[in-house]
Amino acid sequence: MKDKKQTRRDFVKSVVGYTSGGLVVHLLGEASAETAGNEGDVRPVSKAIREEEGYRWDMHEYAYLIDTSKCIGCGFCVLACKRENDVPEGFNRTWVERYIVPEFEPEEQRGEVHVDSPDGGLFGFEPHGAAGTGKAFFVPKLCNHCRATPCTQVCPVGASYSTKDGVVLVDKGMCIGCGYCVQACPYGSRFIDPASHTASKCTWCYHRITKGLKTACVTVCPVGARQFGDLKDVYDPVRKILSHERVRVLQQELLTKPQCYYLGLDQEVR
Amino acid sequence: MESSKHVIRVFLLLVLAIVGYAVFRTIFVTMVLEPKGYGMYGPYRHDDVAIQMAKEVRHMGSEACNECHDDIYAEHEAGSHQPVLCENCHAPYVFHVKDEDRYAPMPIAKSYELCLRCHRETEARPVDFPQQNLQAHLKEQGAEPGDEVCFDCHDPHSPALEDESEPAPGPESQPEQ
Repeated sequence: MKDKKQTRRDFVKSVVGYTSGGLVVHLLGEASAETAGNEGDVRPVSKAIREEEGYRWDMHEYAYLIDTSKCIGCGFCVLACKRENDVPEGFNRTWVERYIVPEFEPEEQRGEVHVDSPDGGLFGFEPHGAAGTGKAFFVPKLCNHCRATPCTQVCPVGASYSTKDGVVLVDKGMCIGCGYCVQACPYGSRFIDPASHTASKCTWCYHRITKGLKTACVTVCPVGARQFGDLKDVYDPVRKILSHERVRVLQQELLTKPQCYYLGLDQEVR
Repeated sequence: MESSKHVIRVFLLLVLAIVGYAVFRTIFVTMVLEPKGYGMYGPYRHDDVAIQMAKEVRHMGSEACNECHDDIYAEHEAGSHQPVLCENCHAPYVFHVKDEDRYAPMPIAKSYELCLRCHRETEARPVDFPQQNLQAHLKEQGAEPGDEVCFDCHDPHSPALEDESEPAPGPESQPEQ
């Protein structure tokens, strides 16, 4: 027996029906609107800026190469990074470590490697003056911009992210300074900026590389120990070296897929 | 059968809960709580990418100095210090030039400490890189120790002595800061 008058039950049913139907339509519309915008363009949401031609991040894939046999430990890279990016005093976005490994024999001294990084190498290095040095070298380090990075995974607010061209960045506006990413990074690349209380790290000078320049540290290196390249560029020298020379990355057992490759890395390097 | 009514009711309640959550998520979280640009390419605020791209570029490379200092630039490019940027020993370009105009004097460090930064004899340096023990070098050259002692023989813009026909008298005088 059907009632002609609408009951409360019928009313509720119709409300639910129309709402969910409308919602489905709305969600579909929203989803298609987002993907309809150019997939490759890095354009702010603001419509006014959408008009001009942007930098296409899907046409670049950056990588960094360090030749430890060339590094002289001058620390100009550390200084340039500080000047370019206003890195606070006491912290470094890139740094140089010095390894002094004693001679292989006598056996007692074999494991005693001396590692130091005075102010990250900002003012250069003083001679260590140890006897019986077998080999010694400098190892510049920076954020590896890992492709499977743990630091973006652990960020609770989505302040840490990877761009499509392979650069890991920190959104100062979203960062709450919890420091989880600082803990998560196995390379020690991150720190909390004391002034803004947000996480900070090497950005591969994103403001420079997107304009076709190289990073500050690569630009100032006087011996070419640091190189920056674009793997999507067929003529790129870094791409050529990665293909034909023997390279390795730091702590590869952690499977973070770092994009900083090293030539001449010794087993003693941590 | 009778029991199916109850099953359907529970089922409808579940659907209602899902729909209610979807409405809440779309309307409240996406439109009110989420920052603008969030979720466009991933779980981050896409607007930040443009902010990062817009930061000031400070180091310009040696070629930028050529515009006004072409004589020193030519000397520098022909000498052994060609790979060393002007900005390494001086300061980044934007500290000196703003809006195509000279803005502040470029700092000039003349102390031997700057030279020793690269050329001090250290274990870890590649052996084919020119490095000196300062005391031994001064003794060998018969030079008096002093703050700007390196300039007695070496022109910092083109320091290798084999390049020049005469010993370098010192750098071109620039106004002291």
